[in-house]
Amino acid sequence: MSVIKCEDLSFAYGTQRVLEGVSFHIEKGEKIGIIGLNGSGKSTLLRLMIGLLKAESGTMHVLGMPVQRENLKALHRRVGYVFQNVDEQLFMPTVYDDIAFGLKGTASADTVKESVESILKRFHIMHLRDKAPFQLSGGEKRAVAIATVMVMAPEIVLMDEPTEGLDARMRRKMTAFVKASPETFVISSHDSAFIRDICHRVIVLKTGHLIRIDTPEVLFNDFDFLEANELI
Amino acid sequence: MIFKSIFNRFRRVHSGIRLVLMVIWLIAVVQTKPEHLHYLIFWMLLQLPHMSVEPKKWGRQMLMAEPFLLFVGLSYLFVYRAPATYYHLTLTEGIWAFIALLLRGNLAVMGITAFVNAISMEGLADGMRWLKVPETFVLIMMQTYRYIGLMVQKVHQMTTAYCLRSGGKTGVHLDAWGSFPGQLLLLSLKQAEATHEAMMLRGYNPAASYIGISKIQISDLTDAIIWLLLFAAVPFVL
Repeated sequence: MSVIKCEDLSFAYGTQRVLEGVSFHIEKGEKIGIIGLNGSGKSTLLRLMIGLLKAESGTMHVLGMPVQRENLKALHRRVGYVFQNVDEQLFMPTVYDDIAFGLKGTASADTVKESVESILKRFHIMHLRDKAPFQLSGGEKRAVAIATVMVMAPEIVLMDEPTEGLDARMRRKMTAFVKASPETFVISSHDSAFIRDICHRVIVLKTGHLIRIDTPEVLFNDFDFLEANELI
Repeated sequence: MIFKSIFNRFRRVHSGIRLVLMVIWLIAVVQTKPEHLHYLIFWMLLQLPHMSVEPKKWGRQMLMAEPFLLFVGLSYLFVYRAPATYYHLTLTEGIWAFIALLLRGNLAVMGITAFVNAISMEGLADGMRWLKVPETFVLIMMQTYRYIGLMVQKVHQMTTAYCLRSGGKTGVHLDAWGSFPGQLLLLSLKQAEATHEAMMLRGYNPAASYIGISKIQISDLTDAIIWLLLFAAVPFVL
């Protein structure tokens, strides 16, 4: 069952074409990687999926809903988005408050407390509970940013460069986390090793065009293709 | 222990009621005449339960207000020269007015700062909505407050980056005073937009975040009446 269906999608920032005629579908539970050079449209594609941008033409359906203004609230409850720059994601005075933010108004105070503490334990960040996000290291911020999204129990998780700035240990933890999670993940990344480890399929973008969708095993062994498209 | 329980009890009072009491207190403080300055001590004690006790924060805010108070107060020294005797001390009316302004001004700034810290911005917004302040106004206040926080962060980042490349000079050079604030505005607005997106993606509903976060109870009214009686009694008792 397709949870994301994209058909002939195009987008431009003013006169600058960023995506042209992109079509693909993603099944439930799949881990999909999006790779490409800087400016190829990876982040833009994620933002179109979550409704932060409006496509010029074509259609995007997520969880059976067209990505339109009327559906955005419902969409945001079921789809999580982890920003590339985690400083933009964290905005509350403490880690606890930031993680609880998405649940307030949707659950009782006790449920919120239970959910937040459960996520803090799951991510091994209980010791950061009362800290201010701006005091955290890069890796800690990244873990908290993901926690703020996962606490809302999304069905789909979109991640923009999730391993950026992470050391090998944190990167291994990230890999283990994504692999063990049953949710559908769409991950934009330059980290080909990370993509290779976790993704079922990989979308390759070049100057806004989708030039290939393939499994990581096939794609990352096709050195001629990777070289021709400057991906290595 | 007793003081702590009093503090905790007052902190649970409905935010709208606390706001009303704060406004009454503020009006009384700023209108205190030089011959009644001793009222300020007791009014300050009365207000303590409503405030968060953070002397360092108060001190910083008061320092920011000092130049303004001094600027205004200094004019009194030259304009009002007739002698006046209060508390068995004869000084010019200008000096008494100056002293009164400093005391009232600093107490008002301290009171507002400590009150906002204790009640939180969401509590303040809830109180304002309870008092029927238009939602647009409250929303603007909340968003401006968040934006100022972001801007302060950005100032810190930009001045650090600037100083690291300014060849050992202190502060931002006069030449950069045109482009620096311009860039600060642009970058902070960009950051604000991204933060707003992050909030919206997690279901942020501006009005829902503060409306009805505290419910009015009978004990709130009784506490408010007791406070008002004590407040009003000060001029009669002293």
